[in-house]
Amino acid sequence: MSKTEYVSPEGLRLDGRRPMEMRQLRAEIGTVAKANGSAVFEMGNTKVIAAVYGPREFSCWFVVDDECNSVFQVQNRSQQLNDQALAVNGDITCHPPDHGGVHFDSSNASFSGTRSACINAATLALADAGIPMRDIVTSCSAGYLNSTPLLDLNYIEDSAGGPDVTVGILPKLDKVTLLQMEAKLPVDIFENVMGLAVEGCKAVANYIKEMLWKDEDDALLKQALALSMNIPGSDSSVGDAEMSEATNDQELAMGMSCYLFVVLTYLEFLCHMDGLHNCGSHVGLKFYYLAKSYQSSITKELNMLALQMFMLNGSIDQSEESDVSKVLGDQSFMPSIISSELTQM
Amino acid sequence: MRGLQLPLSQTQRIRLQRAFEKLQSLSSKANSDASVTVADTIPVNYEDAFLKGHGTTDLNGELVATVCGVVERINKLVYVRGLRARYKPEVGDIVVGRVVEVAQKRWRLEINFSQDAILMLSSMNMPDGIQRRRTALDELNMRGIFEENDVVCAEVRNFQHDGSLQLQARSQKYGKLEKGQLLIIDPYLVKKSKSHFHHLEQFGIDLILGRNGFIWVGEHVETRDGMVVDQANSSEQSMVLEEKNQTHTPLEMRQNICRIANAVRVLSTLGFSMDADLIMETVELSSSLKIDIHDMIGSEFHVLVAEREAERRSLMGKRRR
Repeated sequence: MSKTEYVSPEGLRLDGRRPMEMRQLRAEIGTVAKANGSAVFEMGNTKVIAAVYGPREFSCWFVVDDECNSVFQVQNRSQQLNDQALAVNGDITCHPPDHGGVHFDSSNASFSGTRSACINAATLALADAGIPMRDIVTSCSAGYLNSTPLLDLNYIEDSAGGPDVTVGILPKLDKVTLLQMEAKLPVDIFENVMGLAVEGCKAVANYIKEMLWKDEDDALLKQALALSMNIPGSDSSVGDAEMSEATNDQELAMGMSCYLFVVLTYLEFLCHMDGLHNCGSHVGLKFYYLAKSYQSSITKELNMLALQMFMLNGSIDQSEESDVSKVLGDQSFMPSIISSELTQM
Repeated sequence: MRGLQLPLSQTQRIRLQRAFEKLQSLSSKANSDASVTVADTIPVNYEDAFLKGHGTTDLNGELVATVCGVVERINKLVYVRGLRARYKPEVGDIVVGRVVEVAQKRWRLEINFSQDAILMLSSMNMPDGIQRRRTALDELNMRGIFEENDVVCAEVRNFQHDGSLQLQARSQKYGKLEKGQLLIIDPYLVKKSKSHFHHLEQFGIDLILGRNGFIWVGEHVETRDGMVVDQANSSEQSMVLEEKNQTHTPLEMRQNICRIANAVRVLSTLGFSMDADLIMETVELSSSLKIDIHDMIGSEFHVLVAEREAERRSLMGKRRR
């Protein structure tokens, strides 16, 4: 580590923030016109565009073996391409390009802040696409420099090489979906830093909620405008078909599978970002979403990903749950926390 | 931002703003109390029985929304209606779709739903118009009816047990659409109405408002009467020839198609729901003002249409009162 002071004696950081202060957040929903859902998320100078294409037909019977059918690209537009970004650049795995997915476009996919921004952007884009989610996922990072826990590291602080902890949470459920750190820290300090990051996540969650509310109000207003047309009685017609209720399980399952697919893609992205495969000390908790009809195709995915059960549909029955725990049991690197988490659910 | 992406001059902006304010004052108030976002708790009376519908889930004993939208309650059913979701088919909807795959005994159509719709060969009227069992030969000739990337108009028939969506095209008004433009707009802009097929006689154009937000503007095709089976049968051969001769669409017709298509585009950017009258009015407005077809999607015309619509609605409101 260089001798640079990351926190001045007055308690200010290089960019003038206090240790517990986040960078400026800015989000915009619906920026990509042709996508089904899209969002721009900015944390300070990190700007990520996420676009969701889908839900579309998920034809898993076309899938050959362990290929996850996703197309996934992070295009790096900035001058500073680093290895990680390069690793993600281009198609990661696979296959038929027509199933929808999350596309991220980040101007500097280089450090942990990008990861957080990507997750936040993805949440917004998924919500915008109208894909059922149990909760929003928000993410924020925190680091530890000059023996001070710092919230939301900027690029300079991140490249200082100190420990940084990226956390993703489900704010409503109060659960952790992502926790990673690529350095060593004493446990008590780690807890502090993680707590700080969680606080950051909550702040982001508030902001995202606010954005969603605002966007929804816009949509409502727009629809009200369209509705009040010369057919006065027609307003009510919207609801009729939905009477079919949740009996239409398959439809939901279909939706789920698409969602699963989207989630998997971006998990995969995270894995590649972090170099999860060659990082032993990595605690990667990822969430995962079960669609019953496609379980077999997912199993292979599971072996690659550390995962946490994240089920939307309460109706998934016992037998399947045990199947999943079997899969989970296979994972040697899976911390026991997750399995306990699973049994709770 | 989802707002209008139009290069507006200062005056245009003010005019547009005024028009929209007027429209807003006229429109029924959006009930934003009922709107929820992901993971919001939906207030329900837990003592009464209720059914959870789409977009809701049970979380630690609470009813929670899983999509952004408006909470709707019908008797015991509580569900969330997404505002920007994809098209949700209803049985009987008329949709326009694009063939993505020719499979065994069926075509797969993209209709802006979360899955592809299926059009079975058996739920199609055969070109010869005879009701009979479909033979293996028919199956081989499927590409003769629709090919990949053809635009097809059909009706939603039902949901199968496995959740797939079936279409049918058992009438001469359904079928392949040719010589025209397909426009894709937000599905919520197309309201269910008595008729989704419109023949605009003065232009000789067919306008099909698909409930899935696919709008077809194309040259008018005489629907062959299904009753005159024999005649259709015998004339089939000659029709093929005729079609080959008529690949050329006259310039005037093309211009009409473009004009109507642009009217639809303008209305969709402004977020007005589509119906044939409104589209026709817009078309007439443009031609009466001698606005060029390609100028129709310019800012000035948008402003004009918005102003006119505001005026029209206020008149209508008065009349109703």
